[in-house]
Amino acid sequence: MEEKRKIFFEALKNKNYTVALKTLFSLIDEEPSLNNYNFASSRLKEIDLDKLGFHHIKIAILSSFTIEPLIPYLHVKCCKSKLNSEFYIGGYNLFHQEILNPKSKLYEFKPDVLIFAIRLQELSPTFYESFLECSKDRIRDEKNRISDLIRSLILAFRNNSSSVIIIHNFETPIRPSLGIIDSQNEPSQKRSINEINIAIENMAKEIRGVYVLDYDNLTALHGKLKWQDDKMWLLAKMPIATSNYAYLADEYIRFLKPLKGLNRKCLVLDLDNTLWGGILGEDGIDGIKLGNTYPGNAFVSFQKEILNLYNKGIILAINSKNNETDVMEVFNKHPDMILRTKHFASWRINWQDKVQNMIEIAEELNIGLDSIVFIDDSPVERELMKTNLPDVLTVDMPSDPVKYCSILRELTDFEILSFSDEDRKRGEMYHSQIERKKLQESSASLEDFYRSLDMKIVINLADSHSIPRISQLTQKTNQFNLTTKRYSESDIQSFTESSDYRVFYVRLFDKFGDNGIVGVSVLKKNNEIEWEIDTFLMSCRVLGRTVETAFLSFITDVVKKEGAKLLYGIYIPTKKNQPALDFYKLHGFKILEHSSEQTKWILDVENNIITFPEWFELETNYE
Amino acid sequence: MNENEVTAKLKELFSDIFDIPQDKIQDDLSPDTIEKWDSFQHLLLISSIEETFNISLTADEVTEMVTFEKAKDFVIKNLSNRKGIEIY
Repeated sequence: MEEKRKIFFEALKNKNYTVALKTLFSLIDEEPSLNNYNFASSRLKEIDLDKLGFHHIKIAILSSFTIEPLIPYLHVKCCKSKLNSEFYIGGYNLFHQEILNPKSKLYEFKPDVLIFAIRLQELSPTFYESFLECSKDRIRDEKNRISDLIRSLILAFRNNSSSVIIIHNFETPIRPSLGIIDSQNEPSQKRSINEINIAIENMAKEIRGVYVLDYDNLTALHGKLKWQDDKMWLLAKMPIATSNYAYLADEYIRFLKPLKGLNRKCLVLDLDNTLWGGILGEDGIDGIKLGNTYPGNAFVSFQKEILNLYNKGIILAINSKNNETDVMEVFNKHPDMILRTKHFASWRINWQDKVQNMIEIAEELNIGLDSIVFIDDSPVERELMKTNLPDVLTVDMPSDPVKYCSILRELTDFEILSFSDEDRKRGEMYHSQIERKKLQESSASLEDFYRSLDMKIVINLADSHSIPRISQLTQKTNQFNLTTKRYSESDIQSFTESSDYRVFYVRLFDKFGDNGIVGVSVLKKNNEIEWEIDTFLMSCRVLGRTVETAFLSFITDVVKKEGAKLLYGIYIPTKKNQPALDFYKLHGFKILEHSSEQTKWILDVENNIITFPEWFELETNYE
Repeated sequence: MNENEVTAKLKELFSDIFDIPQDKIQDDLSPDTIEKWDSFQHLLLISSIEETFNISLTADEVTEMVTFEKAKDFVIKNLSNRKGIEIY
């Protein structure tokens, strides 16, 4: 430890921030103590995180209890996720004033996200301390009072800010006042609290950008008896045992990653001793362990857990040293396989080195290496992957397959903030990409290929059904994204309500099925004759099929009809959006201004036409 | 763990939490002599001590632990109360 601190200070002195950061993290990994988190958190301020390409995030926390011990944990964990976090902590139990006063420090801080960490113990002690003293009516009134209070606070915040809200739900008591017959009583203490929780969940369903952190479940997950700290509560209004603040921080990270587009999209799997027990090449299809008794059932459970991720919209791929024909036989014929070839978007089953395979998989799927999670039972393969492709998240798998499922569940990288039809069907859509590729290879020319795809695009203004997916695309799209502006659902909502903005989405169908919503454009009216393309992005899945040209052609027509003479296009370079670099140039825009931060393009829409590719059928309800 | 090891470990914690060099840490170090030793840092100190030595201080000990010397005494007392751990 002393040694590592020395290395850290040395690196800091030499402004070698990468090494400094790596050393801090290894210090934490080696001994994740409060003191080490504190040390790391206070030293992080000396590291220039912007230089390392970190994303900024401003986090406001309002709470009804002492939450300060959380900060070192959350600060360091944010950093581990490449987030440079800045905090605002509201005064102890002053959340009403902070939220209701539009001039409060909370709004001055301009948070990206508000964490609303409240406990019912403070809001209404009745539910815990004197439940049995209260009449039925009193409990009902109190339930309504609390639900109404929370709703009015959320709405007041929404009026002043469009940032995301993460709100805690309330924990049920460790032991209800009436003991074992609480559930038979009316009102029941536990049920009453759960009813308030349901009211909070309904607010999250109704009001955009509101997410519930299931605090009751979190305390149960780690054991309610171990979660609380009676001594610190009585001494300092600190109800949570200090080490548990680390788990709370992890839970916030689950929200922050997808909020900043840092969640991962693809799970790449090894086969032998990962999806089944044993080695296929040696044990044969009848010898591998997979079935309804131990140890085969451990692998069946793991496959089911993976299938769940697939259904949630995570892309699956295989990277394995095996004979492809043997593997296909297992996928097609083994009765106990849960995963089948149709679940995979790409595979490299060969004797090539896995690092090379991984690069190829990323290229084929058109995703970044930092979107990939890799699971392999072999420590040697894992080490190779970690060293050569540090952007890939290589998971340290335990040697016991019984533990595989829980490792997968505890990963914080696959969380999503919305679940759309696109997510539900993503696996199918990627798999049909393989069919498209075959068609492309058999087509004489690109144009032939486009025509034979029977493509239809639907371009419409954003509406309540499409807003979640539109926001999701702005959060997730990195490559073909001209300005990489990340918008929450409530941001998009407010654009649709403004007469100076138009938000369009494009949805693509072809002979292999529905590709879902694949592109978004936000148009901004600067004045009567000038419009600007604030956002233009396209899912990388459909790049190379000229959808972007059709979309640009459409929006150019739109602004022309709105009376525009000039259309501006902005390109803001990032580490990843190289594919969009020449987009405006290729479509006849001229450079207006150029700097290292951005390039501003201009199109005289009166005298220029962007041809709509003839191979698309267009459907729109935009008048 | 012997007394010297406890003292050394405690000095590390005090030094980190209050941002003072280890050689400046004397037995009579207290909130009166260190500006940074406020109620919040006190909590942090308690939590760190409990975690580091795997002990649970009583509420009285938490409120009474206002010098470096007391911290040493309480840690040693708690460690020696624990079965299987010998303080020598």
